Amino acid sequence: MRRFLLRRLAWFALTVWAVITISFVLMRSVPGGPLSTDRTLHPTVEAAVNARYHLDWPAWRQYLQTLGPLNLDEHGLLGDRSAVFGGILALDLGPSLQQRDVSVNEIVAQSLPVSAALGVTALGWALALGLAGGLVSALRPGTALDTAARVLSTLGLSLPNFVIASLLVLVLAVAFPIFPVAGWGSPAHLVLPGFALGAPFAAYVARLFRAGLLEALSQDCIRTARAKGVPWRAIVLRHALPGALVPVISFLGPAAAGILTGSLVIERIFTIPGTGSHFVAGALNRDYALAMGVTLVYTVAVYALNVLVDLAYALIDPRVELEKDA
Amino acid sequence: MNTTPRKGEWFSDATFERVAEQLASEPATSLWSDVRRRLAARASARWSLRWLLALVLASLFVPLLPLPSPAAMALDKQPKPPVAPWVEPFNERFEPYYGALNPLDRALVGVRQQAFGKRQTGPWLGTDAKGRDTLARILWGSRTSLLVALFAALTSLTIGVAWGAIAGLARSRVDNAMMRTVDVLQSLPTIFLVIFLLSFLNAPSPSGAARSVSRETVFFLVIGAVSWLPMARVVRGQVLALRSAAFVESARTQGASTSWIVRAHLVPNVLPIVLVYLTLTLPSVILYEAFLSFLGLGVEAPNVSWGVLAADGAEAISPLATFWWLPLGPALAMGATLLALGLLGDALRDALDVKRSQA
Amino acid sequence: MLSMPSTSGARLALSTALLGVLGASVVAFALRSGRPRADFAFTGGGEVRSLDPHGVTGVPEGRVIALLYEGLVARNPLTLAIEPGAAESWNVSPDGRTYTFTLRADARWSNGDPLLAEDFEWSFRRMLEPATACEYASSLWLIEGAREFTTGLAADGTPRERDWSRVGIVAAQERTLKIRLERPTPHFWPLLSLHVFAPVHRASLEALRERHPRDWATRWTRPGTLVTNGPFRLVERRVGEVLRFERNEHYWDARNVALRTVDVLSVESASSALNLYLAGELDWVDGAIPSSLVPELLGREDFDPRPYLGVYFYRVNVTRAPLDRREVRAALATALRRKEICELVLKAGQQPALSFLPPQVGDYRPPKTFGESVDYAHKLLVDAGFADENGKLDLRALELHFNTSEVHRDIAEVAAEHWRTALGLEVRLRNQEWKSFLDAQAKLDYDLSRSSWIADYADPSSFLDIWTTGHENNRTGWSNPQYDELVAAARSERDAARRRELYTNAERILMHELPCIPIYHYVSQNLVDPRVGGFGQNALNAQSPKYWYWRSDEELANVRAQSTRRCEPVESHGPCAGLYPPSRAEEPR
Repeated sequence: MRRFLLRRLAWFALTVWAVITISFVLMRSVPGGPLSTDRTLHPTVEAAVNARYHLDWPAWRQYLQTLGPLNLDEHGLLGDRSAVFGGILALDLGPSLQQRDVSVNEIVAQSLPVSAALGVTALGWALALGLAGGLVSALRPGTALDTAARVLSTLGLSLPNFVIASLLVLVLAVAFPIFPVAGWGSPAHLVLPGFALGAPFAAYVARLFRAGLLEALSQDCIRTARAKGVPWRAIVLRHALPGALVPVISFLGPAAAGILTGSLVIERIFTIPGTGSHFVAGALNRDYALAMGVTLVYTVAVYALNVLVDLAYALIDPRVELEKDA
Repeated sequence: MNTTPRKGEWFSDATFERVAEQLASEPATSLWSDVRRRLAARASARWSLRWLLALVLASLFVPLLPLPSPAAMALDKQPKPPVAPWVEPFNERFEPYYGALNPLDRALVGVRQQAFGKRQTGPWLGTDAKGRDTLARILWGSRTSLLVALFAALTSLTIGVAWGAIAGLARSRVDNAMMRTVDVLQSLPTIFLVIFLLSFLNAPSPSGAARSVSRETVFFLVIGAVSWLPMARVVRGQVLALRSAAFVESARTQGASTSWIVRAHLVPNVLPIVLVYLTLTLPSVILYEAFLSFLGLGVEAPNVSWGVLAADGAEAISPLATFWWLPLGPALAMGATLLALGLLGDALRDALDVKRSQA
Repeated sequence: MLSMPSTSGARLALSTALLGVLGASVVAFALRSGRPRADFAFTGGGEVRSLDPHGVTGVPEGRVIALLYEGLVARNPLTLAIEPGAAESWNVSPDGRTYTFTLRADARWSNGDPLLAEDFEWSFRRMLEPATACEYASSLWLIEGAREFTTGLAADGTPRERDWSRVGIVAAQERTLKIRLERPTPHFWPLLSLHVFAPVHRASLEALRERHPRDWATRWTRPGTLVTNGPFRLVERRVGEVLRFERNEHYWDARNVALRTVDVLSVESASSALNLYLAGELDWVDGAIPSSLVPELLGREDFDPRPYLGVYFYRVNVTRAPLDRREVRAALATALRRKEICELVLKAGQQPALSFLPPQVGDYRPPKTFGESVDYAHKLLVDAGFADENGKLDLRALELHFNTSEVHRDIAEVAAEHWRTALGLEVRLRNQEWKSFLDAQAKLDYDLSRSSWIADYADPSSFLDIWTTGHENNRTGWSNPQYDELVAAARSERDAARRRELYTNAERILMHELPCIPIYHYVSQNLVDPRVGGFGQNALNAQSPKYWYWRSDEELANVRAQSTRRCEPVESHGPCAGLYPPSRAEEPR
């Protein structure tokens, strides 16, 4: 277990470094700096702004400043020593270039719980719908119900989530004002965005669960238990379910990544103040610090979730080894 | 010979060995005739194939059809709701306004004008706020979407298969390095990469001349470049298993060259998985394109794609006025196509699934 | 084979329960129990860039600054006349160069500190210092010595040390501020009422700088720390979501401020903003209404588009052939059918623009220069040798740049269509993302580029100054010495009639040379609840939040009865009893 975690940590460090470096290079190569606005600045003023955000430094120095852990400007070791540490390795994502008065840490701290809540809700919807659909399909294989469930779930995969979102808004918020149209704050605000975000993944969950259940239910031991007169429900719950959930759990990692991606659009439609909406704004406004910060947060989140999934995997089935053979 | 794998063994080497052995012991053609038979037996597969074929034909020959131009604007006051085909089958208001067309399309449009003159279909699926016909836009948009999907899938295929095959065949150190790269790349949130790359490769060229790389091409490359990773992993696994299969060993001891082994054994056995994966990537690429179009990074006007239509439709819903036909048409088209691809992929996977060879 | 050990089922149940609890707590943390809705909620678009008045230029930011700060003078929301703000009186010296302001005795900051002339002096200094990166610094260079202070260069270009004593801003006494201009400048008054020239609380800012030398900038505008002098103060800030303001009880006119709380929401998507307004979550939406929905709104009581001092135009890169020829530019300008664009694309009553300035800017009326005529356009091209008599064109295809937006795309498509049918000219559309678009414009890497210019104040100089040689907002490469002379002379001309004449002549040159092709003049598109009173419908769409209030049912009925507009009434979401300022509560009703 310890070796497993250590190895994962090492790869995590490498991944984070790769993300930082690739993002840094890409963002600096894209035309249009963060400071170009509709009203061009006078050269003197522009030079001052560049100096404030260290955009006049050579690229390697800007890179080291971004990376950390030492601060290279006039407040660091070489200056008045008021702020020796800085950069991502010191958990300081820097000031946002576009939002002049806010630091990226603050933006992330305020928006991450929101995105996390949305993601959790979406995952909940995905699991609820998917497991229910998969269960129905597996217990009545080949029937019209099974086909209907499968077609419905495949339909969820066949539409972009913003189309689903706008149809939901049309029916459930405009035509019949049951849920709020947009915004954030109360549990009612979570329902429509969570559903729109999670529905496509419900389809995958349903398929995986159905396949896993069918597989589990066809085992000899199940037939033996039935022959011995064990009630159907106990069989399903205690014998078939845990095994059938294994592929579903291993899907949670990619599902979380997909939900994070999909949230970019959903957050915009429902004006949810989550991290995704900040990323899009940051990338389009060339706010390097914000874009990098959000990318990192997402990388960490997905990575952590994958580790959790692997751990859960091992928890469920002790025969599964944590280390894969080459 | 009983090749049904035991529970928990489905992905083990032993299973692959047995499966590969059985596949190799039969002549290659019987697998495909088997597949074809199983596919034809399923109604959903038959209908999916028909729909997809019809769509491909329609999108190839859309310049010939008597449709309105997808870009001609008739700046009427409001979007017009759908008019049933029996109420207004045709009208005489055709305007040949298209974006940049390649020579073949231009020739086809010329033929269409000679054949039908100024006749065009009525607004069977309605028009949008600028008077552009929805049906025409859906059909012309299918070209872009299908093309993007196909090219991106092919790109991912090429890179993925090559990467996986090389990793599978190479020494364990090289294999390890290559797979670790895949791991790291898979941990990157690719959407950010895509947005960066699209902005970067879309930059104006310094000389001011026309851009050498069009936006659509950038699209294909970028989306393809981020979707090859799972394919590489799957191909590598398959190649690894086959490499140590008994029949390959025996071929090697008989003096067969590596290239012959690759051609005769590895390729036919990797192909089915690759095919199945292809039908699975196409829908996700189409959805990805829609997603990027919503964020404003899709194809430019006057070209149109399903993603652009879906995004426009999503914005057309409001408590004030709901132009319901604007999201509904593209949603139906996209939904039907992706459903067809999904069902076909399912059927293909089941047909290639040796485990259920009882059928 | 073996079935799963039953303990695994128990483990599964336990881990599911744990995860469920974790998930639920995350959700609960992220949601907030509903805080009561503010008295007034509005949005101006996405998140504002900053709450520092010296660091912003955009219109949405201006609205938020107007809530928080008050400058020396203010604008009357109905007439745009200059009114006393923090300064209660002033006088101008006979030569027109020295302005002396007397501040109010009861002017205070939101923490109770008195507002003194030295606060204003320090704030102007901060604006002019290059390190602050104030984008409006250059508009203050009409003050004596200001330009030298910011750029560090003397008039002849030699470097000189920055010395504040050479700048013409002095806090002569505790409540007296003297400002000395380089030359008499009539537009100094409307300029001064801009939200940018607001005072900043020196003591708190400097104390913060000392405690946190590195990241003071990100700690300064927090609700507990920010000290302002306007009608409202900041109480909550959630980035990307909402800014909440409360009435500033230390404000000198707090008795006449009706609203107790104001929310500014950050809404990126125009359709979401509209939906929120229709659901009653917002009381005012400023602009950005999808044009397909404008016809639905036109007949409504809450939508009243008015002329707005802004122009939409295409910049022409005059350094690139064939656009370096005036005839080509003029042909492009006259071949457009602007009425069609306004009626069919925009639909909110925008007016075709045949001049750069809107039809009425203060007391200025733009001259008639060019008209629309396809024949004339064709003739121009023939005369210049780019086309022959039969209409065969010898011009390369041009590229029109615009940034990603539905409206820009539509106008560009229609314009390209007009040019195609009228001249046979192919114009390719190039949609660029905002930063790349600005970059291309700044580098003169375009043929035609879409632009807008919104006036800061109601004076021709706000429009015409930007076309002088080398101005940072010129960005076309156009340069005309005669034009520069006229504009420079007009800036310091005190006689109103002569000034108008100078600007008229300057605009004539501009519209003859056409480095810009005006398309239409803007209208303000405010969707505002009919119950809101004190809402300024003026040509700059400038709002003074301190005058806003809610009308009672009785007053609303009166207003509706007296209104001359024919429109359908709209249900209001505001308080039926109205919300009046505390001072009005004392009046007999």
